[in-house]
Amino acid sequence: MLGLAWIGAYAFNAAGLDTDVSWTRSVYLQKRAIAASLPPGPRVLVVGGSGVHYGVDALELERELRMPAVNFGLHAGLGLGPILALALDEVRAGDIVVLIPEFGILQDTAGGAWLSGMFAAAVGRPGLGARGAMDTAREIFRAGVVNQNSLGKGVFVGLFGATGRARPVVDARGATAIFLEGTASASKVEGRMSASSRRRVEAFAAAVRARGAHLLAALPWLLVEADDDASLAAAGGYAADLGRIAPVLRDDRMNLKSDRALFSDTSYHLTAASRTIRSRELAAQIRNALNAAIRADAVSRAGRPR
Amino acid sequence: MNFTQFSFWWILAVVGGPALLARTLMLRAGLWRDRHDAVLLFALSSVLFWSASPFSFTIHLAELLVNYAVFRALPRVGRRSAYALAGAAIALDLSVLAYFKYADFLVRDVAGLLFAVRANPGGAIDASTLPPGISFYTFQVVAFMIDTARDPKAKPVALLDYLNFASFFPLVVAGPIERRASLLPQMQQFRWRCSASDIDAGLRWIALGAFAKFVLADNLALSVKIAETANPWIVLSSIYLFGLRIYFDFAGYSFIALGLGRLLGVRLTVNFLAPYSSTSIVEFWRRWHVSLSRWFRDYVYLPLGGSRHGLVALNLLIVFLVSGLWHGAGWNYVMWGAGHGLMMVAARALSRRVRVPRPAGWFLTFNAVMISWLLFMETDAHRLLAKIRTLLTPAAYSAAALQAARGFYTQVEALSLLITVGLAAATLLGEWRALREDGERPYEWLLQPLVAPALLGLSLFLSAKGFSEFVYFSF
Repeated sequence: MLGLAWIGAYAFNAAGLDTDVSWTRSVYLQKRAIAASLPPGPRVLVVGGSGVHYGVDALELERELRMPAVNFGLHAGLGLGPILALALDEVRAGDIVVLIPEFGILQDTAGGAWLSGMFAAAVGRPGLGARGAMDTAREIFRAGVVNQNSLGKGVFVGLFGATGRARPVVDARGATAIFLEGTASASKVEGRMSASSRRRVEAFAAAVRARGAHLLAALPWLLVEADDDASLAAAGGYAADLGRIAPVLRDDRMNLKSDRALFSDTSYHLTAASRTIRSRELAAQIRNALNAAIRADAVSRAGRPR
Repeated sequence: MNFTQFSFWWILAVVGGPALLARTLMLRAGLWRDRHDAVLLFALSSVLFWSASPFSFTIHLAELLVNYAVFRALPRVGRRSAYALAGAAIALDLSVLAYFKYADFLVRDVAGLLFAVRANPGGAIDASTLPPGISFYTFQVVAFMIDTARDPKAKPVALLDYLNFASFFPLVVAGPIERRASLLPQMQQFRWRCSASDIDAGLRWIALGAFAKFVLADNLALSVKIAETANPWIVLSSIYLFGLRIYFDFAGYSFIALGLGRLLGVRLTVNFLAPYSSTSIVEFWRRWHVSLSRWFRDYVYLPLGGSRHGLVALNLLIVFLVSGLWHGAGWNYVMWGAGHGLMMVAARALSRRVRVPRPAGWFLTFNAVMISWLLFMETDAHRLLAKIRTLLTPAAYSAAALQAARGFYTQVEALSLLITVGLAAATLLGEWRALREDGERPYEWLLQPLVAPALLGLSLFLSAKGFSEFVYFSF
């Protein structure tokens, strides 16, 4: 009976009846098509959760950096493992990959999060992003588990045609074309990057480099209270941990913001105006990081015996 | 060792499975002795405990070895010396518990009332480093020591049997707190029989536990609005939802522990006996966390004099204050314990003069227990006071506040809450009916051949969005 229930739950997930699953699948498929449609040659690939989807304007990056850019932001509910695995599928030689993970998914000890199993079933890849036998077994099992919230959303979709989420309309470079309404509440940054997350990012970095691409990391813009020094310290910890793997792009305040006007419905999602500011700043940081890398490379080559 | 974590089941399967296979092969080859079963059980318990927390396992093992050394020395010394030695071992056990669980509370919240102290200097004590299971296994080994010291004719126990008694993996992290008389003989005669009837019964308990934890407790947890202090409808409903949640959470854990024990042919204490069907507070405490209630009765209440000497009220208050403190290092837990102590005293005093009809008794008990959970769930003193103020303000219960309460849940969340509360109510109603029909087996109807697998199937469709930790793990 358990096996039958698992198959039934898998079928529910594969059908994408949960609105978060169907939204993420639609966004993913559109972005993958955009990435594939770009002409051969280096691109900027911005990777992360919905903080990237709603927070980075790839067209703006493209204008500033004068090279094609794709917003590959998906959903933090997938967890770090699936986000990195899906991004890696798209990486090709010469690309500049900018990883901007939400703090929470770096803190998690498991690779997948609450959406990972359902999403993996929806794209027909159970075990997506798993590392090791236990992780794979867990993620495959989760592909056949439905949560009550998803079931409720599925019922609403079936009965009333309600979506519960804005339609996943993306622009020509994968960023959102729809900005969500709402008032964001301040978040807190807590904890540290887990050892398993560190290993995942290290493996991702190695795979990116093996493909002849470059990896940069960045901290997301996040709404916090103005006097939240604990979050500032914690974000600094994440920056230090990421910095051991790749150059980290951030401002002096670790990209933590206290101006609510910059944010829309959540503490990671930006308004149209703030997204432009953020994207220009990110473009400048990418340019500086690449120049620094080129300089370092030149120094290294000059010092090498011929 | 957390049953909600996939890693627990994975390690159990990848270590236990090959180990059992090796046992079968060696048994056929004549290389396996009965005693090896106990070795294998301890090895499996150790691997699972170590994988959950090497630090906790090390402390646990060190405590057990010290206790065993003392236990072995008891028959060789005089009666008075035996008591002194056992007392010293118990003091050591309780000191370890006190250090990890209460040091910060004693410094900051107790000494802090009298002196200006710097809490937790240097961050030496971190509440999050409380070794898992320490509150439970400490009580179990203390009970063992007392029972042994009290009984001069107690037979010697082999180290391996003692280790299995205190480290049995289904119970070591959160009980039930077993006694020497009930568990030790099972450990001394332990064999990996893997009988079909035990496996069948064990799986049914595990299915019931999974349903209680993943479907009921975890979904209820999502609906508890802990931060809200101003809307009385939300504050009140959150208290009741928390009351349901904590029951299904801990009962769920206990059922899984029971099922795991049964898979191995070991029968553990049923820790919950439909407590929310109780018609008095005295009955509630016979049905809630049974093994802990019995522990306090036998090792605190009765040694204090029990109901003799006219000190019953004082003894009850002491027991419940200590019980409150056992649940957590905070004044809110002390107040929760005191509240239940006072209710017990009042119930005993009134029971001789007033005869309360059973439905009224149930209504009063259920609501009194539920309201008391406020003190248990709210660890923030400012928020606790704000909630009490809101609850005691009649004007706050306005239609506008009721309307505003709807805004705390989306349509989908409200539907989910409705489903969960409906399932929880059906479960409680079923327990109540079962108690009326079959005395002390309130869960038998949920363990029927078709019901248990259906519950497990439901768990795959109705689990919560994200798992929450067992509430009692933090104790």
